[in-house]
Amino acid sequence: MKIKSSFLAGKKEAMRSLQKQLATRFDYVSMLGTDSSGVSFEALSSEKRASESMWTERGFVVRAAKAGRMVEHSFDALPSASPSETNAFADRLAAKLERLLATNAGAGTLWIDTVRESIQALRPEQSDAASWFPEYETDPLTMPCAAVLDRLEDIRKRTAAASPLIASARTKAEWARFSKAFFDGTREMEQSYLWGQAYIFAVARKDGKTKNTFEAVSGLKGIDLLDELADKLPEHAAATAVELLNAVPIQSGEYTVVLSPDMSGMLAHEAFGHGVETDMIAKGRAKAGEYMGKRVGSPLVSMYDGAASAEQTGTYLFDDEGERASSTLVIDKGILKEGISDLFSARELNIRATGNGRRWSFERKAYARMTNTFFTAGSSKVEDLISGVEYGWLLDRPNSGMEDPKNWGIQLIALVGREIKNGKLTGKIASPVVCTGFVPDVLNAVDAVADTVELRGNGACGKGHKELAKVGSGGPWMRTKMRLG
Amino acid sequence: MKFAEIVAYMKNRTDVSDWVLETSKETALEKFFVGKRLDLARSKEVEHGTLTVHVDAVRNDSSGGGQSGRGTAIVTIPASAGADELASIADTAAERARASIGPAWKLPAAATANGNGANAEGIALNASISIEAAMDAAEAALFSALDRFEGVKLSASELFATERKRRMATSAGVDISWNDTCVEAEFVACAKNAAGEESELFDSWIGAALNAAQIRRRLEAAVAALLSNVRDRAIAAPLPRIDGLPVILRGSAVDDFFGYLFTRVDAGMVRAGISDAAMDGPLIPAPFKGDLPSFGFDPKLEGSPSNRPADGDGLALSRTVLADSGNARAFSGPARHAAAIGVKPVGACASRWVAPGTLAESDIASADRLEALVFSSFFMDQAGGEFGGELRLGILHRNGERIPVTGGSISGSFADETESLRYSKEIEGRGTISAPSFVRLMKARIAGGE
Repeated sequence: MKIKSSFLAGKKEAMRSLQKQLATRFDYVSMLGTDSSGVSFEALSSEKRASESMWTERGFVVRAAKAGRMVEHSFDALPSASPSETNAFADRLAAKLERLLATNAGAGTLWIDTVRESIQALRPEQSDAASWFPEYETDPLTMPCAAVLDRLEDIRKRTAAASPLIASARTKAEWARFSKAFFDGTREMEQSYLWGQAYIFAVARKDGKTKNTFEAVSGLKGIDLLDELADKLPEHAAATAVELLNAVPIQSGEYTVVLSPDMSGMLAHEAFGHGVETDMIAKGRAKAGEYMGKRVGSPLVSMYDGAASAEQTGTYLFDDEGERASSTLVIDKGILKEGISDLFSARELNIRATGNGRRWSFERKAYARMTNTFFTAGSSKVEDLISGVEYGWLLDRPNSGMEDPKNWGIQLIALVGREIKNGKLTGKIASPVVCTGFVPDVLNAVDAVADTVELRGNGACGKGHKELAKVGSGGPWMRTKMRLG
Repeated sequence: MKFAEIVAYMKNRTDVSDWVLETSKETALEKFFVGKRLDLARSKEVEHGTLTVHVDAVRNDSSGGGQSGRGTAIVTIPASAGADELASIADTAAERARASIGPAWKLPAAATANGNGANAEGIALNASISIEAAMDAAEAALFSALDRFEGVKLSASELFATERKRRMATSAGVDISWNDTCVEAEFVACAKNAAGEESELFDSWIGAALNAAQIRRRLEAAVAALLSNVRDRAIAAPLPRIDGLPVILRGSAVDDFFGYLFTRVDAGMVRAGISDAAMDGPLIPAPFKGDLPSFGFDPKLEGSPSNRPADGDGLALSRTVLADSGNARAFSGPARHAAAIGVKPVGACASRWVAPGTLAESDIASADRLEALVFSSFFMDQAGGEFGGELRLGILHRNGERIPVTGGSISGSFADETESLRYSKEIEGRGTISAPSFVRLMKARIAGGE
């Protein structure tokens, strides 16, 4: 079945009509309509709940340019397509946009007068009309709540029963459906797709010490996601949480580290994903701008970002500025090749629009954002990565990370660190492990990359302290050096 | 749909035992700067609506089979929803509520909340300041702070001024409204060292229900602090290897650090077994020789954007002590959690306070210490109490010298600090929290260079 928004279908004509009306008064006008919703199921020892997904939104954003300046207005009520209503609404909207342009009057010119041509020039050769409505076996948003909650409760009980030291077990699954329509007079795009993510959280407690961990799955998937979650992960989550009760603080220092695919994904995201968001380069906020075409990592390091690069939670047909998704080779064998752009920064830097202009919601500005970001595979086996370590740590279960594109610092937090001595895991475990380093040093120290890439799309990415975007990230097992504490 | 129409519709739903409707009409002006240049101006007119539906039925949770209980679900009502869609949304909410029937409880009576709101007393009201005036004050603050610092620039800044008109009604008769204007700012500063290498730091600020002078003064102080910090970062040395030096946490890391204690007295966390706190029991394991924390929430915390007259159940909020001298005195959170663990509901409010400690700024001024001013992202495990983060800017005070340092990390655990945890007498307001200006850690591990 195809999942479509009846709301957007009903407003399509009104959006088109409004765009045309406003286009007579401004040099360029685009309209984005969104209707996204989702459901989150959660089973705890104390209760079961089904609630709204945080990604739920419905509304419109109009972007208008005149005399080289661009402004935006977000709103959530659009009258029907009747000429009289549209005319009156267009008048009110035009007045608001003009007021914003007046606010902006003192600003330096960012957009040249021929905005429309300017945008067209940034676009690769491609059709101006496109739609994407993938087929799904079932719509998870209409599944009976009780059945999904019962399934999650079974998985939760398995986790809790795996050890008497489990103090709390929780399972969660979320599906979100995104419907968007874009019109700018030249381009008409529509898409409606969904993704899902599911988690097991386990908390172990002994002698007043509390430790927790999680297992996660995600993808452009429906209810089958729960089969993946149930497949051995409850026992694994419980065993890891219990194991962490014996964790010791790590002796601070620089070590050889073997990163799991989740950790290498976080490294890709934080180390170079944010650093090649071209709005950061346009603002002088990213060192990467000075390194295009130069070596930033060992020849074993190649990295992609793109909504069209992989199928994960960062996948879409077009971004929130109406640009088609693409696949960007960010690092090729250690050489920094290209950044990921929104329209503003692509215009400013005169580079390709890569389809990475994303909004937290229709209420927010678009920024250059990551989509699916990952290191590519090498040729080593995971066992070889470990056996080649004289002393070091295997790091897994990323908790959080933070970028520093201007100064190329990096922070990754791993919930699980496993000691490696003479090529073997000793059984000693550390948690949490704070991993830091200078990004080029970390990437240049990569000396082995495994032959299989895994991507996951759990969690969300922020820009600064806000602006959440759903992204996928991953990579192969990788070996490098980092400072641990 | 209009508020009154939704209320009228819900009053006629016989399959719903109780309900709560909350709406927020938001009008916003937003400005995005690159350097001093205005890059983009935006505006916004939206209305957010949430409907909470409670259904009484036979329990279907793991511990209450056969007994009568209550299920709850929250759904969004889009501003564009018509009558048919509202019915469909309410159906969805009712189905979700029926799938999650837990222990029984009741919504608070209207008398407790009506009169606590803006209608009667006036909480967090400054509707008289327009978003334009708020934006003018914020813009002036941003750039007047910049004028005071030579050799430092703002790379990018974002300002948001939002007027929020909120209203809540419940099936128990609560009907309250409250308004404020909220200003948010995010700003990125950059400075060069003698070699011409640039360093960057960023910060954010938020305040609500403030007049123009307050916005200007407080935001300017926040921007000035960042500009001063980035000047230090530009000349900072790599964090050296240090053992046994006290670490002074400052800024938002202090809030995250105390956040662990707030999680300990969260009714939902206690109910789920993630916190093992007991009413009137100690939150911190013995032996404890440091400052015994007292903390709570205050729905009238000056400048907090999280202030509100009643919580999501319609329970009237007032200044509440959650912990007194290290002992739990109340568990905050939705009434359903309080009912499930058998404690008196005190409500949920994100405007928080932490009482002063016993250490003055002057007490630490001459001591050797590492002041951790800015982390990349301070991690505080809310279940286990471990913490850590990469140091973006620290000031190493050693042998009378003041040395800005950067890089490396600081980590530790709350449990390790219990014998010596001390924090400041001085209190700072930081958005949604009023808390000590610093926390002193004696056991934190410092991962610097060799």
